[in-house]
Amino acid sequence: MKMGSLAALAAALVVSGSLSAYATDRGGVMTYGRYADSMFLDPVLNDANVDIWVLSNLYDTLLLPTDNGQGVQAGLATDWKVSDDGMTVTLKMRAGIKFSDGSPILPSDVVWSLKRAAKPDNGIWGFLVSAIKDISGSDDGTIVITLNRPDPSIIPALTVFNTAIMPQKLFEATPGATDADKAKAFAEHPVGSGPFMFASWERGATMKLVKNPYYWAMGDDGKPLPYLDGVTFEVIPDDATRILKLQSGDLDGAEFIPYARVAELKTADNLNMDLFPSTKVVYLPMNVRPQIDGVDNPLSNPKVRQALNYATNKDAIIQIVTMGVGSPMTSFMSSATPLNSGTGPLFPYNIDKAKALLAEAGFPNGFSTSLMVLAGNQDDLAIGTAVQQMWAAIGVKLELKQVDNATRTDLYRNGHFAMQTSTWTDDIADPSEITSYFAYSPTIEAQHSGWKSDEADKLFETSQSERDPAKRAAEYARIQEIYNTDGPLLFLYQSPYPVALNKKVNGFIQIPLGNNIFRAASLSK
Amino acid sequence: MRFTLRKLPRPLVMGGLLIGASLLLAIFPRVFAPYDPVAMDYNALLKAPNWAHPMGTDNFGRDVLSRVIHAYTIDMQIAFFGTVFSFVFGIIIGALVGYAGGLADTVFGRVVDAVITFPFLVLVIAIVSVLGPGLVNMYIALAVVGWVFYARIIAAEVKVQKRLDYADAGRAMGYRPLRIIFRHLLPNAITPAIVYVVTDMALAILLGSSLGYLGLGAQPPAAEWGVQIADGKNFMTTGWWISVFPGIAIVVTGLGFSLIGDGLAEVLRTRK
Amino acid sequence: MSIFFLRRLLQLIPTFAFILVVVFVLVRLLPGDPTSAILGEHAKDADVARINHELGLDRPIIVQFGLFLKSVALGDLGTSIQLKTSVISLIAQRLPVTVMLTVMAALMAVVMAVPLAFIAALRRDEAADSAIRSAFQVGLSMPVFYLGLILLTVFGARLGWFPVGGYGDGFVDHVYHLFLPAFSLALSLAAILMRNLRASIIDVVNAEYVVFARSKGIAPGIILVRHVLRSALISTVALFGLSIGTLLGGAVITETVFAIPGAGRLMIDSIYGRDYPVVQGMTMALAVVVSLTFFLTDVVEAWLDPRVAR
Repeated sequence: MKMGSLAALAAALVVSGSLSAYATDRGGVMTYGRYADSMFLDPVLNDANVDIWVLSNLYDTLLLPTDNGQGVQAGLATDWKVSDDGMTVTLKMRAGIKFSDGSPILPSDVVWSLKRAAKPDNGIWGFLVSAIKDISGSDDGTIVITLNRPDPSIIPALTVFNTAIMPQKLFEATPGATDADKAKAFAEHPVGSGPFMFASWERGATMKLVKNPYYWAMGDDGKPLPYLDGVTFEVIPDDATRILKLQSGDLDGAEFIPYARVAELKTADNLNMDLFPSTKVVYLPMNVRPQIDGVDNPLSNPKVRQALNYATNKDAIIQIVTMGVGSPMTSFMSSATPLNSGTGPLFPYNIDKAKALLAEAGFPNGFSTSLMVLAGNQDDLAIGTAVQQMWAAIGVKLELKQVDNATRTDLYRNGHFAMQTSTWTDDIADPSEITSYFAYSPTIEAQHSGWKSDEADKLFETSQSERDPAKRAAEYARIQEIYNTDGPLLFLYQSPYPVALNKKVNGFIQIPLGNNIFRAASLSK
Repeated sequence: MRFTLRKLPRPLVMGGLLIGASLLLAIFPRVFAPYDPVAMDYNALLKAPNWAHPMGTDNFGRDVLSRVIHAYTIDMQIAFFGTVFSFVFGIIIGALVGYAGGLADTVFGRVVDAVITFPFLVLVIAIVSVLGPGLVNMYIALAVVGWVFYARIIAAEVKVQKRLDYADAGRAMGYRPLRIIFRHLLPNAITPAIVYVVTDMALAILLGSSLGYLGLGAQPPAAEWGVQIADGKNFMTTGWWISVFPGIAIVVTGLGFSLIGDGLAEVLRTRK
Repeated sequence: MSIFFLRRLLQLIPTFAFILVVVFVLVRLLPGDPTSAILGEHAKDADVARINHELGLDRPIIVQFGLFLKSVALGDLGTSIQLKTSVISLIAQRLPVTVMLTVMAALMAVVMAVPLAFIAALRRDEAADSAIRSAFQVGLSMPVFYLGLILLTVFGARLGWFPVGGYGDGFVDHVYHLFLPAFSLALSLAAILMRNLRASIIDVVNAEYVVFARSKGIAPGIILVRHVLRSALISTVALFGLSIGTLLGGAVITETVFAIPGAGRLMIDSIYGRDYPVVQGMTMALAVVVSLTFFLTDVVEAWLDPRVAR
C-alpha cells in the first residue's frame, strides 16, 4: 500500500501546513467551481457522486473518515466499540451537539436516521449497512447497534454519507405523503449538522453554503470550525472556462482539471495544482459469456483476456490519456483501498507474450471485437483510439462504438457488449464494496461481465463476517489473486483527483473516497 | 449560354479554385499526406510544428498535417451529402406548395412548424441512438430537419412570383402547372436557395463538426476537422496547433463555398 | 389582416398536439431508461426494477400516455426524475435565460448584418465587400467553444470588460453577463443573414421597378428604404424566423462554455439522462417560444409584403 501511506503523508502535510506554519485566518467565502451541479441532497436516496461528494459538508455522520480515506475518526460520536462477538456496536454521542437550526441532536434522531438508512429498498445504499438489525438509544447518549452477523466493515460504514444524522422532527414535519415525497421537499432546504448549512440554490448555477454556528469541532485557534464564513459552489461545466475563472480570481478552487492542463497549472504563480490521492480506477470490463448476441465470443477464453492485457501498453496510455498523472493498477482495487494486496503493475506490456497467449487460445491471427465508449468523452475516446492501435499489432481488430450514457448502460447491464470503458471510486474505506461489485458474482455478475468464480464468491461471503483481521486480509489477497489473473478486466490505470486551488486557500482536501472537505479550509488574507 | 473564363464572375473563379483544390485533396489524400493519419508515435507526443511535422503532432503522436489532409475526404462528403438531400426535397416541396397554396400551404405550414419547433438535438440524438452513430445516420438526421429551410424560402418566393405577369402569361398560354412551376417560376425563385445551399455546405461541415464533437458524427480513428478541433480543446494552451490548423481548413473551405455561392448568384442573375 | 393572424394562431394547436405525441413516443424509443441512466453502470437489477416501478415506468405505454395527457390538461408537467423537482419550476428558471440570450443574439445579428449587407451589396466586389464577407466567414467557421474561450480570455480575463461566464443577478447584470455569449451566438446568424440580404439587395437593385424608379429621378435614399430594403427584407425575415429555432436549440454549447444556467443545457442533460418529464416539458415550452417567433415573423412579413397575407 505504497500509495496509501503517501496519501497519509500528503494529507498530513496539508494539515500541518495550516496548523503550525502560521495562524489560520478566519472568514471569507470560498468559491469552488464544479463541473456539474448536485441533483438531490438526501443522504439516503441520492444516486450520484455530484451529491455524495459534497453531502458531508451539510450532514454530519457519527464517525468521520480520516483524511487518507483509510481510517476512522470521531464525529458526532466520540467513542465506539464493537463487542467481542462482533454482534453489537456501542457508541457514545458527543455532548451538547446541535443541528444547524440550533435544536439539539437527540439519540432519537440517531436511531431514526440509521433505521432510515438501513431500511431495505430505501435508496440504493442500504447494502452498506445491511448487517444492522436494530438500533437503540438512551438519554445519556449511548447508541447500541445490534447486528444480524458480525460485520468487519460496520465501523467504516458509519462514516459513509448514507448514515448521516438528520433532524427527525423537521423531516417529518415536511409536507409530503411518503418518505420519498418528504425527502424531495426537505432536500430543497436541507438541515443537518455538518460544518456548513444550506443557504440557497439556483439549480445549474450556484449553491451557497454558510458557516454552521453550532458545529462541534474546534479549529487550531480554539474556536469552532469552520474557518470560512461560507462556501459557494459555481457550476461551470466547461473545463477551459472553469480554469479561466480560477486564473482570473473569480474562483478559489476548481475540480476536475483536465490532465492536459495539469503541468501548465503547476507552474502558475498564484495556483496550487493538487493531485489528491484517490480510489479511482479506470478499466475495461470484458464480457466473458461464451456468446454475445448469438455470436461466439473470444473474450470468454481467459488466455485471450490475458493476451489483451499484455498487448496494452499501460505506460503509453497513462502518458496519452493522463499526461503521466496516473499510475498502473496493481489490483482491481486502487492502491488507496484498504487490503489491496498488489505488489507491482499488472500485466506489464509484453507483445510476444500476448501473441503466444493468443496463439495458445486458438487465435493466432487475431479476431474482431468491439468497445463501447462514451460519446464525446475525450478520455474514453483517447483510451479507445490507443488500444485500437495497440491491439492491431496482435491482429485484434477493435471497433469503437460511441454511444451516449443511457444507451451504453442499458446495453452493458443487459450483456449486449463486448467491452466498455468504466471507472470506479470507493464510497467506503473498506474493500468489501468494490469486491462485491467486481468479484462477487451475485451482486452484478462481476461488473456485468458474466464472470464467476465459486472460490471467490465463497471467500467473499466468509470475509463478510470475518472477525480476525489477518484472516480477512488473507481472504482478500486470494480473491485478488484469482481475479487479477483470470478476471474479466482489462486493467488500465488509477488516477488522482486533479484540483487546482488559489494559493491563498489552505486546508481544503478531497479524500480518496471523493468527498470534498471544506471544514478546515481557510483563505489567507 | 456559353461562358468564357474571362466573363465568369471573379468570386466564382476564386471559389472554384479553392473548392477544386479541396476536392483534389479529398480524392487523393494519400498523394499529399506525408504520414499515415492514424499511426501513433509515442515518442513524438504533442510536438510543435517542425520540419518533420509541419503542423506538429497531436496527443497520440499523430501527424496533424496528414490528418488535416485526410479529413478533406470526410468533410467534403459531409458538405455534399449533408445538404444535397435537403436542397432537392426542399425546393421540390417548396415550389409545389408555394404554387398550390390553399390547403397544401396550410398543411405544409403545420409540418414546417412542427419540424422547426422540435428541438434539433433531440431529433438527432434520437435518430442516431436508434440507428447508431455514424456519417450516414447523420446525413439522415440533417435531411429530416434541413429540407424545411429550403422549402420555406422557395415557397415564399414562388408565392410572390406566381402573381407576376409572366406566370399569368404562362397560364394563359395553357401550360400545365408543373411546367410553369419548374420551368418558369423556380428558375426565378431559386436564387436565394442557391445562395443558401452554398452557405449551408459550409454550415454542414460545421454542424458535422459539432456532432463529431458530441460523438455522433465521424467515428474514430478517422480524421475529421470537427473531431480534431474537439480533440485539441484541452490542448489549446499547450498544443494550439492541434485545433488551429483544422480550424483554418474549415475557414478556407467555407470561404470557397461562399465565393462560389456569390458567383453563382451573379451568373443566375445575368441569365434572368 | 386580423383574420390572417387569428388563423395563424389557431394553426398552432395541431402543431402542439403533434409535438406532444411525437416527443412522448420519441423519448421512450431511445434506448435505455431513466433509472439505468441515473444509477449508471454499476446499478443492481433489483434497484433498477424497484425504482422503475416507483416511477410507473413499468406500466403499459398507453396508460403512461393517458396519465401524461391528464396531468398536462391539469397544467402539471410532472416531476423531474433526476432532479426531483417540478418541471414547471425548472422551465420557469431556465427558459427565460435562454430566451434572453437568443433575443440578444438575434438583435446583435440584425444590427451587424443589415448595414454591412448594404455596404457589401452596394460596393459589390470591391475591397469592402471582400473584407466584410471574409470576416463573417471566419466568424461563422469558428466553433463556439473556441470563439467563446477566446472572447472570455481576451475581454473577460485579460481586459476585464466583461465577466468570465455566469449569469449574474438582476436584469442589467444579466444583460452584461450575456453580452459575450450572445455575441458569439450572433455571429453565425449574422453571417447567414448578411449573405442572404446581400444577395437579395443585389437582386432588387437590378429589378425593373427599381431601375424605373431611379429613372423617374426619385432620390436614391428613398429608393433604398422604400423599395430595396422592404423587398430585400422579405426573404431575410423568413430566414430569420427559421433560424430562431436553431438558435434556441444551438444554445447548448454556448451555455456550457459561458456557464449559463439555460434551457439548452438542461435539455441535453435531460435527454442524456432520459429524464422523460423534463424533455417533454421543455420541448413543449421551446415549441411555444418558437411558434410565437414564427407568428411574429409572419406578421412582419405580411406587413412588408401584404400579398403574403392575402
